[in-house]
Amino acid sequence: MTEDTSISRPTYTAGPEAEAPAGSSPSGQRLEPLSLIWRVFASPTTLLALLGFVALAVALAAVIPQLPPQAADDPQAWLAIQLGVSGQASGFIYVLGLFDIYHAFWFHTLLALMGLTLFVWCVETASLAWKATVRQRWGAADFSSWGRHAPQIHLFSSHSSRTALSRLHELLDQAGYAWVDVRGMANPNQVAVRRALALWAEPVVYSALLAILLGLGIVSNWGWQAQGWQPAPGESHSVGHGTDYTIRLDEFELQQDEAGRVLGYGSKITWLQDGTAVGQGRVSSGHPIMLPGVTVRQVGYVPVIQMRGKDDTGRPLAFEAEAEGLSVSNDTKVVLATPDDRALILVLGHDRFLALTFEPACSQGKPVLQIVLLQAGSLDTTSAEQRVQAVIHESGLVELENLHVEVDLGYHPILQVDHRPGAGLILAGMMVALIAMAVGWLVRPQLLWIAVSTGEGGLTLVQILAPPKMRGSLWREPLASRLGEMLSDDG
Amino acid sequence: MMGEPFAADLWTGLAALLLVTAVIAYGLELFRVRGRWALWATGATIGAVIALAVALVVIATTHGRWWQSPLAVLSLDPRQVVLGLALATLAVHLVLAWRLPVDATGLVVVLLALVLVLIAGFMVEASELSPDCDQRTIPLQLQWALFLAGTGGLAVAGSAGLTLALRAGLARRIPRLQWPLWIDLHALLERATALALASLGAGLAVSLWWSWQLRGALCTTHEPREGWVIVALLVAAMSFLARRTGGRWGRWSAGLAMVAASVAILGLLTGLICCTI
Repeated sequence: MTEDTSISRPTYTAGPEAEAPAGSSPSGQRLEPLSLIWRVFASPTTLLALLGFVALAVALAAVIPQLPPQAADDPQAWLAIQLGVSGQASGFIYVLGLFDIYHAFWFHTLLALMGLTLFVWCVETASLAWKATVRQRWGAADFSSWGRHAPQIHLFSSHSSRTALSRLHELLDQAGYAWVDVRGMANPNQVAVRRALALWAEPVVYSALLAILLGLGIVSNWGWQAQGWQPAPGESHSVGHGTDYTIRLDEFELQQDEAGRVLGYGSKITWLQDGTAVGQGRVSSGHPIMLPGVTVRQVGYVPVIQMRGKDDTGRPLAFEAEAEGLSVSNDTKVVLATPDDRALILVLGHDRFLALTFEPACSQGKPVLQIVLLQAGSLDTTSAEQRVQAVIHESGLVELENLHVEVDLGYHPILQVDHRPGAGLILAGMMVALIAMAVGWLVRPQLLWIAVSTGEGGLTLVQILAPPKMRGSLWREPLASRLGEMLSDDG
Repeated sequence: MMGEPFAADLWTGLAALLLVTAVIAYGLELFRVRGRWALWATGATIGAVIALAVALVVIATTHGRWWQSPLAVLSLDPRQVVLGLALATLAVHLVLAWRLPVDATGLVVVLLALVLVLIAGFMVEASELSPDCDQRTIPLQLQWALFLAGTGGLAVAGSAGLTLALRAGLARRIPRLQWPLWIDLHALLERATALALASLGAGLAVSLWWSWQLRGALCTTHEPREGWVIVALLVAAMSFLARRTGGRWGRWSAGLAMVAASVAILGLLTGLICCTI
């Protein structure tokens, strides 16, 4: 027995394109435009190139600052800062839309092309799986795609083709393959398959990836998200956006241990329709309440600061809080919009500002309210000259130079209402893709086209091909070695 | 009583010593010097894995009760990330290369882990680490475990890719790199890439799901590291696809695996630097 050099090398290093298996007739049909487009999308080169471009785009998005969602209302102001920072280079980046890559037209086009490619791959692999598992009939026409590439393994044997075929069948039986004869071929051709059901894993992966892309399209084009809402217990909020829901906060609970460290937080809410309570539940961080068409989330909590005070002379302090629409009061109440927010309160008659900042903590520490006393006209709290005047964890009296301020510290939840169809599709798609990928990888389905013919010098030639997109697998090697042994003279 | 930071340094130093032993043993095995060097190399690598795990536990203990949130603290501390990456790389290699005589890749993997451990040795330990409520959650910790395992897988795949790339030149001098051993290298490359794809993909799925649960948005906390993980995942997918497709694309597989490993490791480290700054 002699072997072609390709038997002793992994298949991807197979030599120059060889002729199609003897007796086969690869179709030489004239390509139609649609067929050509299909072939372009079915080509591994296209998928690899698209993956490369998407990877490059994501890498650029990780390097170049991206327009933050909070600046979406006034992108020009944010862009002006970026353009000012790095000069003309930024102008070029702006023209290419690289400051907002994920919303750029070219990126959406890239994803659309990726979707088309995945669709074509899904159809092609599903068709192969269908033929291998359900139809189980192969003809000369099926060879048109397989036969475009060189056979991966050539084996020559001095045995007659009948004996070679018999030994081949024996080996396939031993290895657990099922095989069927290919119709319409001059010489014996077989398609052998093992663990055929797992061939469906690949089309499932592609269709799941397609579902992820579809979900991304739905999430970015449909749905809504309302601004965070910081209600006091008993307050209600109409959801709007075409729904007749009203959400009412019944209770907010900040769970703290004995030392005041935060262990968790959650809100009890009631949802109403036409003024009638229709349900009640508890929402906490990472555990939203899902209503038909509406999701209610707890996205954090903010401090509610109530202040009153007097100066050294015993005169009550008058505060002017921006948060209350610049109202003047002896007893002011401030609710921060977000935990990162800062509130400025003017102490009238003293030319002083009180700057309030908050740091929510978890387990390691207690939530902290910092109060900085600022001179009017110098509102930069990051300046080295400004020092935190008071750090408080709970209600109490704070002494700030000649000001005596009584602070009541409480907390409100930040509730967010949104409706984003498509997210479930993305997450389900990811799960299905991962499971199918794992199944395909662990089970390793095997599909082979085996052609037996009489070659030069009267030797029997056995050629083995794998489907076009499965040529790189290593599993053929043991089979080829064993087949080589069985076809040898003393085998 | 020995201070915890000192104990961590001691365990890290021990891991480095064991890795140096493994490098020497792998080298002697490759050049077929008489002796049971493969056994020494495997033993030293297992020892280094244990030493690194203990070092990580000791460091985590200094930031609180480690069993509560080791990965929450880990994700914030550059030193722990680098040590965790070295640990993941060695562990993945030990599991995947089981019964595969791929000594040359073992040498590259151990050298890479040694470099990471030495980098960690020069890093200043983060002082006050107080992860917030979101960072202490189990999904986020699971996400980090999966990211580390995936990056470890890519590091092994990249090492196999590098060995394959250097094979032609080295095979003349190192008999162990000649055929048919390099089939094992391809098998290791394929397994490591598949593991990395599954781990990084699962990590991203957990990350997106938790971000959705928390904020109703699929973008996470705008951490640059997650962006680099996506890039590494896409390049690893390219490598896997090229490997399966075979033909001329198969030759790109090893190179792409190296690119994916570099992106994952450097992305994780540069992301950390950005976060620290």
